[in-house]
Amino acid sequence: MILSQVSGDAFTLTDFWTYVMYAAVFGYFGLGVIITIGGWFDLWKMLRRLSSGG
Amino acid sequence: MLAAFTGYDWLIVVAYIIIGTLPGFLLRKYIRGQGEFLVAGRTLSVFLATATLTATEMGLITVMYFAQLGFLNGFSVFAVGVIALVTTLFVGLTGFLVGGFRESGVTTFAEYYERRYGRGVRLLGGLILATAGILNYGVFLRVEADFVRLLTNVPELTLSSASGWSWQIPSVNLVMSILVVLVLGYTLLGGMVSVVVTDYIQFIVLTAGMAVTTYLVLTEPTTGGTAGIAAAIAEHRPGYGMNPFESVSQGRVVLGLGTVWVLWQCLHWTASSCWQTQAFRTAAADSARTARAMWSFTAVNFFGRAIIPMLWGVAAMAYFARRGMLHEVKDIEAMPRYMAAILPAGVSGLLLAGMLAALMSTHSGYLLAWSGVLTEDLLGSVARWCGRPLGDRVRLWITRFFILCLGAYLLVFGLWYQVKSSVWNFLAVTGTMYFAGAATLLGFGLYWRRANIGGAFAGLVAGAAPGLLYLATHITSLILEPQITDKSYQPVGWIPRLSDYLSEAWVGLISYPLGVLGMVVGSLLYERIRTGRPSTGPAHGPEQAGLATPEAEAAVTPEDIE
Repeated sequence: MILSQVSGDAFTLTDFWTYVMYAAVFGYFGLGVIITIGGWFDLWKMLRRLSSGG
Repeated sequence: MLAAFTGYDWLIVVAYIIIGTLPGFLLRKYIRGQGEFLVAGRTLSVFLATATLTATEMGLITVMYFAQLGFLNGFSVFAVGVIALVTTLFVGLTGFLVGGFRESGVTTFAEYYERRYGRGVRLLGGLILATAGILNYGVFLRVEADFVRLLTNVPELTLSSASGWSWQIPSVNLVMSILVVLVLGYTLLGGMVSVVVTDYIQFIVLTAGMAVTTYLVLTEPTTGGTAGIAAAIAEHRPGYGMNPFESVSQGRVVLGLGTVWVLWQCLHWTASSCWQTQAFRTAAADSARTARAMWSFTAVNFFGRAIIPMLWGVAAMAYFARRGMLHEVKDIEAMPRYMAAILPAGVSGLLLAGMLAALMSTHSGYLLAWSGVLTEDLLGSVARWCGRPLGDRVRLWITRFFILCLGAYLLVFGLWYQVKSSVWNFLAVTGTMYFAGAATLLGFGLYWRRANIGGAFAGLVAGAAPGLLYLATHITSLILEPQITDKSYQPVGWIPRLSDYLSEAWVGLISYPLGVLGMVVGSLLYERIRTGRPSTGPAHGPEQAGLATPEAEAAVTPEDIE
C-alpha cells in the first residue's frame, strides 16, 4: 500500500514477493551475524559445562 | 559456457575441509556416556542450539530441491518460506509440541511414546520413524554429487598402465566418499559434541558462501536483477509463477502449486519439529525456555533457508530463458549450471565450501539421529522387553556401530547406486507418513488427557495409511502399465487411474486429519472397551503422564538419560 501511495502504481504480487525476498535475505544474514557472535560464547559455555560434568 | 573451477577455488575448499572438521576429532574426551553422545549432556544455549539446528536442516540437498522448486514455479513458491516462518514462529513463541517435548526429558520421539502410551507404541513408532528417515536419507548424496559435478565440471580420473590396462574412477564420487568418511570419523568419536562444534563452523562458512552468492545473483547483469527475473516469470510461468494458489493442468502434467499443496505445506511445517534430527536439538537445549527461543530464531532461518535457494532457482530460470535454453536444461540441474556460468574464480570455491559445509552438517546430524533411534527405540526396547536391559556404555558402542552401518548404506545406495526417478515420489511421501502420526501422538499426548494406547496405535496407522496406499498403487501401476511414466499416456486400468488421482499434495494433506481421527476414535473405543464407560484418562501434562518435570529433571544426571 505504501508503495502504491508513493508511486501511484498498484501494489502488485511482484512487489509483494520482492519485499518478502529481501526480508528473507536480510533476516537470514542479519541473524547469521548475531548467531555467529553469540554462538562463540555459547560454544565455550557448553565445553565448560561438559568439563564440569554437566 | 562453464567457468573453470580454478586452483584458488580448490584451495578454499581444502582449507575449509581441514578447518571445518579437525575440531570434531579432538572432542572425544567429553564423551562419558550416551547422554553426552546423543544430546551433548543437554548443555546447549540458545545461539549455539540455533546454529546447529540451522546447519543440520540447511543441507546441500535442501538447496537443490528449493532451487528446483523456484525454477519450476517462479516467485509463487516463496509462499513456502512464509509458511515456514509463520508456523515455526508459532511453535517457538507458544512452545507448541517442543516445550512439552523438552520438559518431558526424553531424547527420541519414540521414547516419549513409551512413557505416554506404552512400549508397543514405541516399537511401532520407532520402526516408522527409522524407516521413513533412513529411506529419505539414503538418496541425499546422489543429488549432492550432481551439484559438485556441475559446479566444478571436474573430469573423471583414469588410471592406466603401459600394458593397456586402464580404470576410470568417478572423481566426484570419490570426493563425496572421502567427505562421508570424514563425517563418520568425527561423529563416531565425539557424537553430538563434535557435531555441534563442527556445525557451528559449518554454519559460518555456509552463511558466508550464501551471502556472497546471493549478492552476485541479485546484481548479475544478464538476468536483469529482480525486474528481469519478474519479466521472465510473467513470460514463462504465467499466472502460477506469482500466485501460489493457482495451478494449471495440461493433460496429466500439473504446473504450479495450488491450494491443496499450500495447505499440505502448512501442516507439514508445523509438524516438522517432530523430525528426529530437529527433536535432538530440542532435547539437547539446556531448558524448555532455551528450546522455545531456539525455535523462534529458527523461524527466521527457515524463512531464509527456503527463499534464498528458491531465488537462485528463479534467477537460473530467467538466465536460461534469456538464452533460449529453458527447455534444454533439466530443472534439478539448472541452479548449479547457472552458478558455474556466473560465479567468478574464488567465489565458486567459497560457494562449494559453503555447500560442503551444509552437506557435512546435515550428514553428521542425520547419522547421529537415526543411529540413536535404532539403538534406543528398537534394539534397546527389545532388550528391555526380553528382561536384558543394555548398559550405558554398551548402548554407546551400539550407536557407534549403527553410525558405521548407516555410513556404508549411504555410500552404497546414496552414491554408487543409480536411483530411479520414481523413487523420489516414494521418498516425498514417506516423510509425511511419519509426520502425521508423530505430531498427532505428541500433540494429543501433551494436550488431551483421554489419549491412550488404542488411539496411539490407530493414529500411527491412520497417519501412515494414505502414504502406504499411494505407494501401493504407484508400484502396482508401474508393474501393470509401465508406460505410465510417460506423461502423454492415458492409464487404462482402475489401479493406474486411482494412482494418477492420488497426487502427493492430496496424500500429504489427508494424512494429518486421518492421524487425528485415528487418535480420537481409537482412544474413545479403547476406553469404552477397557472400562465399559468413559474415564477421565491417565494423564494431562507431563507430570501426570509420569514424565519428568523440569524440577525432577534437574535432579537427573546425564548418565541417567535413557
